[in-house]
Amino acid sequence: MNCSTVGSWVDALLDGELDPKNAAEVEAHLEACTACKQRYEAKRALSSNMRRLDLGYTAPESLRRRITAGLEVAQADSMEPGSTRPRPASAAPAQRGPARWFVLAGWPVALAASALLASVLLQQRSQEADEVVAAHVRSLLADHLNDVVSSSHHTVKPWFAGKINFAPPVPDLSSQGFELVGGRLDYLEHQQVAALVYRKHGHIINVLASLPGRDTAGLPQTARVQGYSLRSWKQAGLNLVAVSDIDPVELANLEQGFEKPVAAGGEPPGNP
Amino acid sequence: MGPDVDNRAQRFRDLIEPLLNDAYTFARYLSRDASAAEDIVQEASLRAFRHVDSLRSHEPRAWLLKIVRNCFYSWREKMVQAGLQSLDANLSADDANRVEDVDQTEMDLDPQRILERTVKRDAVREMIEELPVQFREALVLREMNDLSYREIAELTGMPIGTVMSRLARARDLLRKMWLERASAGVLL
Repeated sequence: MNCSTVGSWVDALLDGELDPKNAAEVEAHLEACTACKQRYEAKRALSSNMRRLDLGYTAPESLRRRITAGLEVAQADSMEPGSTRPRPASAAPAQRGPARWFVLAGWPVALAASALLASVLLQQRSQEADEVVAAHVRSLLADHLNDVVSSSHHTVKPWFAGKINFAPPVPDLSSQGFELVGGRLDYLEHQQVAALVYRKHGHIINVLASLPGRDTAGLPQTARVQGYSLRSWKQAGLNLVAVSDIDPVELANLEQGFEKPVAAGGEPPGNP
Repeated sequence: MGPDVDNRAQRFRDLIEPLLNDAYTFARYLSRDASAAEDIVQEASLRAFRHVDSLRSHEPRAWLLKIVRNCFYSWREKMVQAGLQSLDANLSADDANRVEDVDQTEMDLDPQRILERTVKRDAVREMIEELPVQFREALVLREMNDLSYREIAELTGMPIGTVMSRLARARDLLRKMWLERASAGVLL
């Protein structure tokens, strides 16, 4: 073994990856060759410096929460449809699919004259909030977050044209710290909605825009569901709802930004 | 909750959750973006959960990091398609050639002096992020995730010889940057 062949065997030696025979050969060369010996020592120093610096990262708490939330959805989804076993309450946002909506559609008829109507409406309202949260959580499973990835509202806004029969507002809110990440089509209560994805301080915010639905009971202006904040408002004939694990104050700021975009690149919301 | 799902959740908690720091570290160095790393690890965790039944390996770390790697490359593919982040691919080819030119004489500086230098973690992290992706991943898997050459080879689908030379080049290149910055007074 000589200087030109010893090459990356030096790394293998310091990583303890050589079998005894090869290790002995490399070591013999290092004993005989000062230049290669110094190279070896230099690399060993680099490696131990790196380890001493502890260059790894700690997974942020927000990520652990997102994973837990995502898994609850996945767990519920992996249960057989029609299963009679009770689902865990924590998996409520995942209760989607036709079966549940047939039940819902039947309720107003059966109970129209009933004194229970008010509570049904209340329940429907909270289920609508659940739907929004479920859409948010699903989107966080990264495959699903964006159909169009762009930080430019000039890209995201036209993308929706032809895919959906209204033009959602896509303001540039970067000056308020909301970074546009992209957009996608999603479904909410069997209705196609435009989802805009913003990010601030690492929190993903979904803004779902839809035409007013026939049976929409309407979301409360603000809500907390399973640790997520919701904020809904009407704008340019559309229903908008923002959902995130971010501080509710930030959602209020976001709404303000939508209603009065201030950035130079901003545009009046709602214009096609 | 069904027993299978129960079992799966338990396996995930036992085998995968303790490795989230490893997964995040790998994703973070690959993507060089804190938020993207979160997205990647989130997606990888979901895939790991779905397939945790098939995890027979005694090495869940390598198993999970392979999924993270796949998620990273899907993410990067999307970025490239969207016209973002094509930078890294272009850099890789250039830098790969440049590595050949690492000046051997610079390797001959007194190792003791290098050893005694105090370096800031952030500065070194930045340097690692500047490495072309194929060298970066070999280095991170070895130095941060503590995988063996065999595990890295299986994970990346490369022969062990390639792993060995990529790791050697990664260290050569990192050392070169380290010395440049040290002599420029940026990193003391």
